[in-house]
Amino acid sequence: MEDKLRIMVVDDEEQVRGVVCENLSACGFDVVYARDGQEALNMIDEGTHQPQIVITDIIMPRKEGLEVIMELRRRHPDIRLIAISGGGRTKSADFLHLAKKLGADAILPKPLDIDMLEKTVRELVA
Amino acid sequence: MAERLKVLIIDDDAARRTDMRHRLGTAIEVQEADTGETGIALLKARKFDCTFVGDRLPDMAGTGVLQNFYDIGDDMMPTAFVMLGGDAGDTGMADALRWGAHDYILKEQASTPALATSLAKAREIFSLRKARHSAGEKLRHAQKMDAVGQLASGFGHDFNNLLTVILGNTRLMQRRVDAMQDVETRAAILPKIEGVEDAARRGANLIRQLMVFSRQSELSEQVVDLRQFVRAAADQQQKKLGEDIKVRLLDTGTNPTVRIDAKLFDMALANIAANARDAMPQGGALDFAMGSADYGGNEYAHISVRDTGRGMPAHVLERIFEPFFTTKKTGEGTGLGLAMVYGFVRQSGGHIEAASTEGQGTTLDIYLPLYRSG
Repeated sequence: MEDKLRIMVVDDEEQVRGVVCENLSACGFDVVYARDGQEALNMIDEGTHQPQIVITDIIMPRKEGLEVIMELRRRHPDIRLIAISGGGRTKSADFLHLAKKLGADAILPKPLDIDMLEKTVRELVA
Repeated sequence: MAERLKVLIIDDDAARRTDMRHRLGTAIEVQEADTGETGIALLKARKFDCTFVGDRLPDMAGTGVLQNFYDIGDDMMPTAFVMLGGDAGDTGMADALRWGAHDYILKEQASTPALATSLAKAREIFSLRKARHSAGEKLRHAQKMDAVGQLASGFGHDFNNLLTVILGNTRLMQRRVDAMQDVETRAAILPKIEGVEDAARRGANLIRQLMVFSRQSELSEQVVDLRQFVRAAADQQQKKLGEDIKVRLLDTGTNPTVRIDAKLFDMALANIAANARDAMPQGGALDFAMGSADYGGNEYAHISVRDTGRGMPAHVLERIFEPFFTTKKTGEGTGLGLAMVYGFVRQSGGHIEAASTEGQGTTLDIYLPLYRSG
């Protein structure tokens, strides 16, 4: 149990969060979730859950994914970051590239390919 | 060399038609119709620069011909119209103008210079109206494109979340079923799950195309050797299209480098090939040519894709890049393939041109900015 990879999934959409978490659990990871960026940062700061990998959505209420990435990069440079986004909603849709520039280790578009996500996770900790 | 003007004369008086034909001169190609019906049929089938219509035809009033087109509702006549009036005192002139005639001339005054003036005047008014009309069309087109873009950005994000939920759940179901001992049940359920997954992926593809069209997609650009890239794409298409369609590569010798999103470029070429295939149900050839070419005074990387299919008429050709425009049956085409190509090329800083000849084939010319290192 101890050497399970710890992952935090941050997404404001309950169903997305749920299904991503369940799939990652099925892959054998230790998974927790946060409902938005602020909750994710609080959880990490309080030390309730120290993830090795954070998978974060970009467009979220309270704290956006891009801010989460910047703050985690500054405060927890050892955490690997994967940004996910379905694009759209605003004209400047280059969020994923921005995420990469701000320090995300990997970016994945939605709809999420679960197998690709698993592969990305494993590569990041290899 | 300028093409000869084409003029149609609709009048039941054969002598008058002949007289007018002579007066118009040999520099003008004249066709004649002796009834309104024949005239209308000719106007629908062929392009004329100007039409002279007698005010009293055996089967209808001269204005009947005008009404036939005026009633179509798009406010645009197929040609310049000159009404030939019989009597200066009647209301013919007012009627003719009301129904969209561009000029009016009395039959007995139809001398050579009068006809020439009338022809020139009608054509000038017609072309002014046409310019205004096409400006309106362009505006409407731009507004439509904009609306589709907003629509795409509005639901693209939410749709991709929904598809993540669907695909994520099918993946979970697959895991469960894979672990089942009962081989028979497993074999029965797995294809159903795959069906859902397949549909969701097609939905994802649609959204992707729509977002590329509306330039909402994120380009992941890389420097690409055009020759190598198009060659690989052509090989891939040959495998997909089968033996009836011969994929050929024409190389102009130059080998431009471009900076593009390779995945989207691949998708664009596949979309073009899919359209070409549908235009060649009996088989044919699909030629990919590449090199560099001038576009608007600048040098671009040039990729030309030409098929030997059935081609299309002008009114179809001018709409092929519109999203949701398709000539295929419901369910067979999404009308997004070439729209995606258009959006991709424009977002990449390039241009695209389409040309088609019915019965001979269609050519798409793509111009992409050249990549210059340093």
